[in-house]
Amino acid sequence: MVGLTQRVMAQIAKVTPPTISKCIAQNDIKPVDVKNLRNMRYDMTDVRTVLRHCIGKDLKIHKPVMAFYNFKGGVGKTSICFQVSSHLAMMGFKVLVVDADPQGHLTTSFGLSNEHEYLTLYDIIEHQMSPKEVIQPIFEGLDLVPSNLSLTRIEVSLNELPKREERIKIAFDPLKEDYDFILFDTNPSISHLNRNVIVFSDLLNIIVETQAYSINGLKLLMNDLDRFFQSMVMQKPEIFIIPNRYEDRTSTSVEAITLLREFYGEYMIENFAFRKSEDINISAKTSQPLAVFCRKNSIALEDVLDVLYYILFKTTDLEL
Amino acid sequence: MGKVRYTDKVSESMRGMITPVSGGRASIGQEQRVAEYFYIQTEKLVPFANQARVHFDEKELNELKSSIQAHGVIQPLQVIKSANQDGYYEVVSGERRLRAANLLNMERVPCIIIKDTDKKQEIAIIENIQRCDLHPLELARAYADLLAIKQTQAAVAQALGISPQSISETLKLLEIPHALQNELIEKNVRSRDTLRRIVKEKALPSTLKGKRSVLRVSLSQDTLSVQRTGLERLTPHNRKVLIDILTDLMEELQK
Repeated sequence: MVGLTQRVMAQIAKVTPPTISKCIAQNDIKPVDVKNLRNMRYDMTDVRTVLRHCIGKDLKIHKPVMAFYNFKGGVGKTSICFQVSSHLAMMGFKVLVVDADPQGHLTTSFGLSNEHEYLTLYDIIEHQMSPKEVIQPIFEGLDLVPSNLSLTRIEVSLNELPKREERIKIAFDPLKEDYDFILFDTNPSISHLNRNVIVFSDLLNIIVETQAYSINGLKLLMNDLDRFFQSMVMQKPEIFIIPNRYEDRTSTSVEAITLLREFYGEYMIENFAFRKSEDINISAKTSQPLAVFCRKNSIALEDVLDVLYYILFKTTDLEL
Repeated sequence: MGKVRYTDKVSESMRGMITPVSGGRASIGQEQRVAEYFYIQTEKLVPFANQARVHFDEKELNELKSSIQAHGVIQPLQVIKSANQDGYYEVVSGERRLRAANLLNMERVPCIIIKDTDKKQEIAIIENIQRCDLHPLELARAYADLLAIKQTQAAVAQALGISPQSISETLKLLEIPHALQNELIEKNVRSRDTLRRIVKEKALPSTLKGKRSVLRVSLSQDTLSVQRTGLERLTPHNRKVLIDILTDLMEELQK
């Protein structure tokens, strides 16, 4: 994966470009491509060093596990999970991202095939394989548990196992020592697999489109979450609702965001919605995170960063 | 920030999409932990044929009614499919809630449907027995119903966790003529001694016809207690008479 420019690094770290160049000089870091002097790019390993330095090396992480969740499909779970996980890794955190959707679109986003050549979460649960045998490295700081259609069989396995809502927790708990963050992209359903993911999660990022079906689904989802955690006699994880594909010029979007604020304002960033943008679609097509290719003033990167910082605020001792 | 705008003209159709609901059936992962409950039309609910409770106190019913009006039916009713009326359900436990809901013209109430209909009688009886406000005679009738299922008094005692002596003593109350039983339930005569006397005499004792107690002193395990049930209602003349009697008594006690 090609590296980042100083300008984008400054944008991600929320510092001025001179701060970045100072940091680069101090650490004696060299750009990857010395021919293009105007837009020098730096290797991902160096990007991680610089960004982690700027954001804060000593951040304490108290909520390391999160899921991108909704039983409504096509709301943008995978897209946002892809952006959040790759940018968290660029920031210098050690990230494991687990594709828990048999469609495997997160897997393809990272440039891996979803056509049955990799081991998946299914092998970890059914064959008690160590997650370490299944993990595929993406770039330094970012590892992936891939997925493909074989993952659908996990439902049968889970159904027959004791503690069937806690298998993922049991398998992945030891990995908390090796990673700063463990992220799960979920499949759009209420399945035992998803129950496992939410039982293990400290933070649920619920992606919801600013449209009628989606806000209707959210009502069902929130009700279901309450009842599920009540019946499990467990505390509900922290919830962060991310309104997605917002379009300022459509009245349905504006109505939906108004209602979301009225009913679920406490779980949302104030006056924020992930805006509809072609950059996100390009990102999926080219298997490249936004920061690698987007132009200056990309609203998509701006929104990803808002989400990222809010997640860091919720999961670490970072202050906004 | 400030990336979004809001409107004060939200359409009703969009609002209906987000307004939260509560209840509904359990989804995956909850099915073994949550009893299924259903909202059943009140007109489809009929009282259980062998209801132990005969007397429904109007005041209590009104209290329940206002509670349901304020908070809704919090605890689901237990119902079984009616054997002789297709599409209807018999309320095994929760008839008071049903009556209150009917008074409020509620269309539906939450119900748990009991599948094990063989045990329905037992459930209904035990459900009603395990509460303190049943009249001893209602209790005796319930014990008798349970006895018909369980055959022996010992088995009844075991099912309820009550001593066999207490069961047989309560069952003895059924020797009172039926009409008289209803009268006693109606008047809420529940003193054990009185009821035992009525069992012997098979008639209302004279004490209950016109006589009433005004002041009662009793000794129980070295503790004296005084009940002054009718003191306020004494006429001025009777008060004077009572003072004379008590003064005599005090003199006698100080000797």
